[in-house]
This record gives sequence, C-alpha cells and structure tokens, in this order.
Amino acid sequence: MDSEGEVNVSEDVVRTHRQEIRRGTAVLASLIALRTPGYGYALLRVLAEHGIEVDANTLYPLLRRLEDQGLLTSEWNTEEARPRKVYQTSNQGETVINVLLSDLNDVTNSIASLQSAPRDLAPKADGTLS
Amino acid sequence: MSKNEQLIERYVHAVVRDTPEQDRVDIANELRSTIADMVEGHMASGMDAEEAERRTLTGLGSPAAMAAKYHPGATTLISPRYYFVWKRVLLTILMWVVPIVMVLASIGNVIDGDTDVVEILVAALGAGMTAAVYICFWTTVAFVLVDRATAAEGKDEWSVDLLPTLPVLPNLAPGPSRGDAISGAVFSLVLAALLLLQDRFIWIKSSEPIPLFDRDLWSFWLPWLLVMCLVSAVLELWKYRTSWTGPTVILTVIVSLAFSVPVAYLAATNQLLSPEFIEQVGLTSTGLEITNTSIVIGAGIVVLIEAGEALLGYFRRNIKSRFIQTT
Repeated sequence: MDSEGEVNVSEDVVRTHRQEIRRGTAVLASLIALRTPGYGYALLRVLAEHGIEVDANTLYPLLRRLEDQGLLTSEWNTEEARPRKVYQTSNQGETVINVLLSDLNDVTNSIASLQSAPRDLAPKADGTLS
Repeated sequence: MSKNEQLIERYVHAVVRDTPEQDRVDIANELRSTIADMVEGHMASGMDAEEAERRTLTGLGSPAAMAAKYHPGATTLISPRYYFVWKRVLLTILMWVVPIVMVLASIGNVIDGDTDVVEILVAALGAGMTAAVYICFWTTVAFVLVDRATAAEGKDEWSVDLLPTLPVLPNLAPGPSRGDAISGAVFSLVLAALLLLQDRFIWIKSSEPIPLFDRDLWSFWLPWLLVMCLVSAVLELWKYRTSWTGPTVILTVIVSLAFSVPVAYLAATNQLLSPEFIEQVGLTSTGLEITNTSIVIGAGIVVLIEAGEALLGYFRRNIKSRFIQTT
C-alpha cells in the first residue's frame, strides 16, 4: 500500500499462497514416503527432515482420506508397546504418484519457460498481442 | 501425569465427537498413539512430560478444525454453488414480503377498530419481524435440502446458455416510460379536479351537495394541495424527459411529502373531513377515528411507494449506465 508496496507483501497473503502451492505436494510426498510402511508421527518427521512442511493436524486426516480412496493401505501394528496404525502406498497409489510427478514436472517446466521468455502481455496500439 | 492424560483424552474426545460415527474408534486410537509419539518426541528434546503434552496439543490446533478435515462430506451449511443464489433470493423475498405483511397487519388492526397509532405500528413491526424470521428459516432450509440433494450430481454442467439475462429496462436511459409519465400526470390532474370540485358533487344521498372536506381548508390547505397536484403533474412529464436524475428523485420525494404530510396531519387532527359529511354519513366517533387513521396510514404508504419508486429508478439508471460504460 505504501511506496514500497512491491517489497512489502502482507504475511497473510504470502502464507495463503504458499499453503495453496504446498497443499498438493503433501499428498505426493506422503505417497512417496510411504512406499516404505510407516506410521503417522514417523512420516511427519521424515517429511520435515526433507523440508516438506505439513501440519500434523493436516497430515493425519489426509492419511485417512488417502486410505479411503484406496491409495494407501493400513494395518494396526500391535507388536510394540504402543499400537500404531501403519500405512503403505498401494498399487493405485503408485499410479497416482506417477501422474502427480509428471504433472509437477510439467508445472515446473512451464514456469521456467514463462520466466525465460518474458512477453509483453499488454495489447499493442492496434489491439493485437505481441 | 494423570491430569495431563485427561487432557489428551479430552482432546481426542473433542475431535472424535465431530467425526463420522463408524470411524470414531479407529480415529481415536490412531490419534492417541500419534499424540503419544509426538509427546515422546518433545520429551526426547529435554521437555518434562507435562510441558511436552501441552506443547503437542497446542501444536495440533483446534479440535474442531481437525475434525472438519476428517470429514469427507460437506462442512458448510450451503455450499458456494448455492450461496449467492440463496443470498439473492432471501433478500428479494424479505424486501417484498416483509413490508406487505406489515401493511396488511396494520390494515387488519384498523379494521378491527384499533385506533392507537403507536399500537398499530408496534403490531406491524412485530408481524414484520415474525415474517422475516419465518422467511429466513424456511428459505434457508429449502436451500440446504436442495444443496445436499444435488451434491452427488455435484459438478454442475454449466453452459453459456445458463448465463442470466441482463436486467430488462424500458429504454436506454431508463426513466419512467411515456405511458407511465402520461398516466401519472393525468392521475395528478384528476386528483386536482376532485379536490376542486368535491364540494359540488352529490356524494351521498342528500338534496344538496355536501363538501367532502372541511370548508375552512379553503383558506390555505386545499389551494396548497391543488398546487401540489399541478406541480406533481408537471414533475411526471419532467421525469419522462430527464429520467431519474438526483435532483428529480429529491424533488419527487419533496412533492410527495408536501402532499401527504398535510393530508396526514389534517386527518390526524380531525380537520380534514367536513362536519356535514361526517354527520350525513353517520360516522360514529370511533368510525371517524378509524377513517382518519386509515388516511394517515394511506398517506404514509403513498410516500413510501413514491420514494421507493424514485430511488429504485435512480439506482437502476446508474447500474445501467455502468453497463454501458464497460461495454
């Protein structure tokens, strides 16, 4: 809003846009990480170690939904002192990983190509685009 | 520790009570083990048990928000698909029905012989509020049902054919149409003629004409009302030329008030109807009060309608000109 408006973007605005862009990646990251079976908290830590920011209160419901959709399978591991629900990526989950990976790749490429070839999107005086 | 365990159980309970029933046990068990894992994680970094548990639960955030994420289905009363339609429909119904109910309630009370203006107004407000509550409730219920019923079909097939038509307005610079202007002007002139000739007609069974309005009013108020009728007739034609500009709107409201307020005042103070007329018709004092109150209310309604029409015309015109600018 002030003269340096371009530099100062409100934190809220930045946060919502980052959430938007990361929302889809949480699914992909979880599916990939759970190729090796794992339980909720362990997954949370693995993702954090690899720089994927997901809130715990988002991740746990997400795992359930992926299970309902058949992308994850689960079973209760009762061998240890504390019973834990262990998830693993299913074959369908594997298919989805491939689709999402290629999409992510496409998006990255598209953004890169947009950046490398900047255009003038304003119409010319005669009304045509450049 | 036991105090804190209770804290965890309370958290789990708060989440689970808002999740689908068949999943509750499973979600609760998983949540318990996960929370225990997280607490252990915190304790491994040197926190004491109590703080670790508090930290964990705080980090998980509001149970209600978490429960909402477990829900596959709708977490809104009316989904975005219908929200704006709902809002528009509700406002339109409220705008039309509530005033009508209030007027009908007033008329009903007057017919029933209620003559206290304050009482009538209070009753009208009560009826209006009751109507508003009913309308809000049932309209919303209807929309929620439709929304839920069509949720499965979900992804509405939208096509350009579904675009709403632009508001249809009589002409390009929408003001009163020519027909409106002429009939409005004629009405004002007829009213003037009635005011002028009311004491020469035989309104009721009698051998000679009986004036409808008090003769004393000829000293000022009847000429004033006559002039207002003529001004109003001219204004009707003027409106047709200029359409609803700001000054026209203001002038319309002023002229409307200049006619109706005196009429209401005279009726309220029982100076309007001539004693001869009252005697000839055989109005009792209660009947007279009812008649006067009805005239006051009628004058008020006329002002509301005329002012409403003027403002509506003004807004339509401005909205329309915005359309024209952008296309």
